[in-house]
Amino acid sequence: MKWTTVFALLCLAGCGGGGGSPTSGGNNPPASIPPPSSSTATVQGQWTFTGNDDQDFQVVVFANLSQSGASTFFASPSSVAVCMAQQGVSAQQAVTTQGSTCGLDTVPLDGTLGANSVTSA
Amino acid sequence: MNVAAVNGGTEAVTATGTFTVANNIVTAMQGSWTSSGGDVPDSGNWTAQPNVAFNGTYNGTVNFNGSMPVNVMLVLTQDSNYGITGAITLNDPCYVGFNFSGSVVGGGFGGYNSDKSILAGGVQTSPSEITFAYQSRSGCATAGVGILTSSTAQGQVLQASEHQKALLSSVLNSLESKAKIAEKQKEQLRQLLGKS
Repeated sequence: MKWTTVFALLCLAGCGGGGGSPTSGGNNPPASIPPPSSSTATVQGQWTFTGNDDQDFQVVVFANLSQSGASTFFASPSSVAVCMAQQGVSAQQAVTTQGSTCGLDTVPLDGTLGANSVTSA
Repeated sequence: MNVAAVNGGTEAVTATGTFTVANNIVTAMQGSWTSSGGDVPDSGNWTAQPNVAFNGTYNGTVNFNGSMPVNVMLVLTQDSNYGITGAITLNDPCYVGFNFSGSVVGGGFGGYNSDKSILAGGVQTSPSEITFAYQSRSGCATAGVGILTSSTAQGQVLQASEHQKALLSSVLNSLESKAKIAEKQKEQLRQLLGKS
């Protein structure tokens, strides 16, 4: 598997139609209350994204997310590190292994929290 | 749902998913992804967890290639602009301690000591635990890696990730590369100023 970039754009729960169901700490809204028109949840801060496939690769994206509106967030390339490695490598093995598969300043990250998200009190 | 893409226009990754909210703060994200445009179409899952700021005193041991474990005390201070400073006390064969400064990206941090002879970095594996490593780049040759824990760290539950631990080397290498780039830029700037 080859990932040349990851999560350049995230669209979460309701963005653009379709997609999965939002979760809210296990709380579901009453059926009579419509979902908010947009999310007001805070997502900015330090995040670690981890992706894997059914082969032997994993991708980790470190990012400092900024929130540009009620439901959109982003990280500039200087705030995103994309790293790749094979699964099952121990920390010590990784540290002693030569060759970098990690890059900073390579891709931006943009995302949107969907309109059908549910916020808990 | 929607798309993503792109590095060199060769491969696109589409990531979709859901998020979890508590007290109006997003506490987790997860979903699936697919890629196209590469050699072989691929797909998988992804998750995301927030990290807490790197602040506090961390203790533990480090060693390297089976060497005798060395006790370490590391004091980390992160500022609001994702800058970080660290003060480490240890009994390494080369050093009894050093300070470093650098930057934080997500759940990782890295930096150099004042003369850039030592590279240090870490990856957060829980709000109270980091995998920490350092390596001398010149002078007395030494290195160490280990798990450090803090009894004062606060934050939400974060799943410890072997992925993050395994990628520590990559983080350190990338930070080193970034520093080299910065040095090259400085040199170019010096040349420009010298010509003007």
